[in-house]
Amino acid sequence: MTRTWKNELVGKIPPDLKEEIDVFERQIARRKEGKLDEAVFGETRLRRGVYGQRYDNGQRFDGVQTRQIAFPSGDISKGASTLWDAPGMLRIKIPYGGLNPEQLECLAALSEEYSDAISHVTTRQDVQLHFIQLDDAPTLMRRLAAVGITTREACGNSIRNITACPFAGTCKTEPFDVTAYADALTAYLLGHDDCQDFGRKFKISFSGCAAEACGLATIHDMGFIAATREVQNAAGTTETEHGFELYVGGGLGAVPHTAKLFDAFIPREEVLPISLAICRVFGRLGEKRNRAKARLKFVVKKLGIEAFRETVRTERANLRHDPRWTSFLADLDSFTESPKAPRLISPASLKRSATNLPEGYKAFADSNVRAQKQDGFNLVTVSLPLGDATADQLRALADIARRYTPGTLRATVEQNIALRWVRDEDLLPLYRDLRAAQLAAATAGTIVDVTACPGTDTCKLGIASSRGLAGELSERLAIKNLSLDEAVRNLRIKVSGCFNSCGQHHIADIGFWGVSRKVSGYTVPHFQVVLGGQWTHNGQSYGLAMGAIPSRNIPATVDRITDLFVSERQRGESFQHFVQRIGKKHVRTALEDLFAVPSHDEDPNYYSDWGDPREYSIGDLGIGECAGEVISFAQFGLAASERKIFEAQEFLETGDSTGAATRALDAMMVAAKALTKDRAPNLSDDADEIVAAFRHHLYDTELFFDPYAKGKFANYLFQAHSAGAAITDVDAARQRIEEAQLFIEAAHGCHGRMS
Amino acid sequence: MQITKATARIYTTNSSLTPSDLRTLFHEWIQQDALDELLLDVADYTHVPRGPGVLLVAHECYVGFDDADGRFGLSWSGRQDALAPAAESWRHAVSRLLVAARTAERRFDNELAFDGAQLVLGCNDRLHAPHGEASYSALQGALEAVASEVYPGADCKIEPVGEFRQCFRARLSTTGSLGLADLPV
Repeated sequence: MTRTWKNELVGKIPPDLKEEIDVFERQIARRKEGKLDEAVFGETRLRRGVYGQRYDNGQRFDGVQTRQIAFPSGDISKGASTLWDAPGMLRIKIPYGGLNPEQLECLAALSEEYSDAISHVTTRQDVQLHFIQLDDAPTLMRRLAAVGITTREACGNSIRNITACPFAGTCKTEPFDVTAYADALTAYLLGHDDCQDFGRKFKISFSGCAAEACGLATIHDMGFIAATREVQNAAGTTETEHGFELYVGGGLGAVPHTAKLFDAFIPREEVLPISLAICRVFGRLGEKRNRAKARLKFVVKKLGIEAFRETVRTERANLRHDPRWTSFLADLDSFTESPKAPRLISPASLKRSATNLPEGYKAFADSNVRAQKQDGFNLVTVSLPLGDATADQLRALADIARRYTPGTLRATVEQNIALRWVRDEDLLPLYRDLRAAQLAAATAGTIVDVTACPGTDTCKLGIASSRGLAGELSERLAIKNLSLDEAVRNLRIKVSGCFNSCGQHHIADIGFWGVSRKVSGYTVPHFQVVLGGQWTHNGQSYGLAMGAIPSRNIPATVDRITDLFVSERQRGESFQHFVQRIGKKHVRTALEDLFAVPSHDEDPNYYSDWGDPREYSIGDLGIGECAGEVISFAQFGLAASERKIFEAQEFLETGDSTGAATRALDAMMVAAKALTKDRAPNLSDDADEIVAAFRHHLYDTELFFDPYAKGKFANYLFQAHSAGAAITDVDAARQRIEEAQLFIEAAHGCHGRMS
Repeated sequence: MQITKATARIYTTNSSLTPSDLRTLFHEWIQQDALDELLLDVADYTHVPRGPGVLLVAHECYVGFDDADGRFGLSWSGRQDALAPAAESWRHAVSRLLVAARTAERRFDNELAFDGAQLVLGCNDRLHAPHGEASYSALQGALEAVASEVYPGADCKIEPVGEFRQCFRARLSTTGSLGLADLPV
């Protein structure tokens, strides 16, 4: 028998993840056979983290002409305008950025075997692998699941990766560690029925404090900032209560909104239910047709924060109690990390180390190391250029984490990796090990460590080469890094390939986003310049747009702006205040000559993008999958019911009548729930409850009735529910499958009439 | 034994090429359909030390100039027919690699030359061929078969390279100075 990872990993994958991946594999097969609708499969694929990439519509501009890519599978699609064979991206959710050495080794292996040997850390603490074949995705998912990672709901109209401060639990400015809350909310909302009917994505973050940047709470749909208050307990003594300041409706994108304060203090017991209530309000009131207005920020804006708050509170009051809301609180201690036992180091060795600092160590310590709140321990940020790491580097990091830390690492929103719990005496040997792995760049949190989204490298929406520009800027700035004025050295540069702001340009000191301009008949790559965004205070305010400058002039633009800052800055003045004080007009005047584009004959370089010698074109722009297709809960449920019918037939073919009958009944239940959920939002998976709700909302009202058969098909559900799984006879099982198929057909008809 | 994702690598003896030269080369190859592979795009990872360098992405395979193992060279890696014997897969990989190498050498004339006396063969598939002694023993016959075709009549040393967590790799080397033109494959 051919060995497969599926067989090798039997018993090593949590059952729920195994089932999910098996189902996805069957859906891939069904789509290939043309038995699953393109739009449903497309959104299903996205919700499993499998994203499209540039050129996946089978067209690419080669610098001279747009060419068709003759993929072997021809026109089979995996979503709208997305060809089956075209390589895609796998987004791997890393909740709160938490990684361990085994997971790093797994990512390294997968990147070598299925991707281009690079793991890319994103601005939302995910890891992405590019150039993945869809048929490999289930294997990748199984190998990830075996080390505790899921890709579920990494993309699509779903709750995306829940991010958190990468320094949580160790940071001096936090009142308490937010990790357990991010973890609990991740588990609670993952695949939650009430979060399957969104018009767009939904992003959540946790911050440990208000002043720093790490959690970026205010640019999220829901942002939690750790807070405490003093309360009197029953015994009359004062206690410190843990909770969160909660912000809602933030978001960058084309229309950035700073989040509004929802509540200055949400008790910790309310984190999960309030989150669910907000999700349900978003699912119900959020825009579904116009993707451009479908984020929570538009709901908040439309209702106003007061009315939104009241709506959520009413929703909260109507929630059925769930023990998971508080059960995780009994387990908070399990998130407390303990340092690794000290290594045995001879005093002579220590003395040698202290007097013999390796080259570059001081600069590294200044920029990449910060003391933890726990005495004697340090956080060490490992800079990854453009968020990229090779497989060998990830393995080296895994070794380093095992050697010096308790094995807990965090991906950061600045596309780096944070090592935690490094002892003072281990900093030097750690630095040497990082240097050996080429991971010791002294750039963390500096202007050299430029953040960038994938842009035109792989993103279908990319207009200009964000990574090309970021790489160019990093290279140039690295040369003069240590000689830069301190005020400049600590500035942040962030680059997005388009207005969607995946590179978070709005909250950078110096931000850029890709645009194009027509010049004498040519299309020329440009970047809009955005200055003075606020990275600290959780990304609280956005920068000022200064105008679009040709891509080739952006390095000079950075020089001009930083020189201006150094020469005209007032004592102690931040970059944000500086930009506000001198004003847009003054900045534009200083940049005036850089807006010009020389003619093509004079300098053809302006007509190609960074890192790409092709004549620039925007002809490769595709349809973004950021928002995904809007597929309703009912559509997903009906697709799932069809899958279950298929499985019932498989049971029947193996002679398992009871299994077949049970699956057929399940299929009807799934379809019934899918149709009814809209009218009974609290509906659980309990069969009695589903049947009762279905009867009440759809049968008694005759909404389900077929114009000709009337309520006949609904009776199949009622009869099967009464009879249960007590079927051992092949003919009876076959009859149930046939009835279930008719019921599901009628459910489709009903959904069509009600939509 | 079968391998599903074969790799082959050859080092340069002389290269003054910049990342920009390599990007331009690969984009030209796409424009000209210079290789038999279905060529898709170019990815540049030269910002990552010892990374994949400049990659030509093709349907189910990559061609790339990089210094990933500390020495600059050209690699070919791609998916193989799962039923083909290992020697067959490596033969294919070496042949595709050498086509790419010769095409590049022609394009850059004196600016690029390859060291034909050394090849590194490998397999990016930890399920069927993890790095280690067992895989090496099982694949030795296939490696010898390929070596005898690439270096007919010459003494050829075959040795495993890399560490246990990396993908399987073995180096084939012979003495003397050989260029691409000296290789019969």
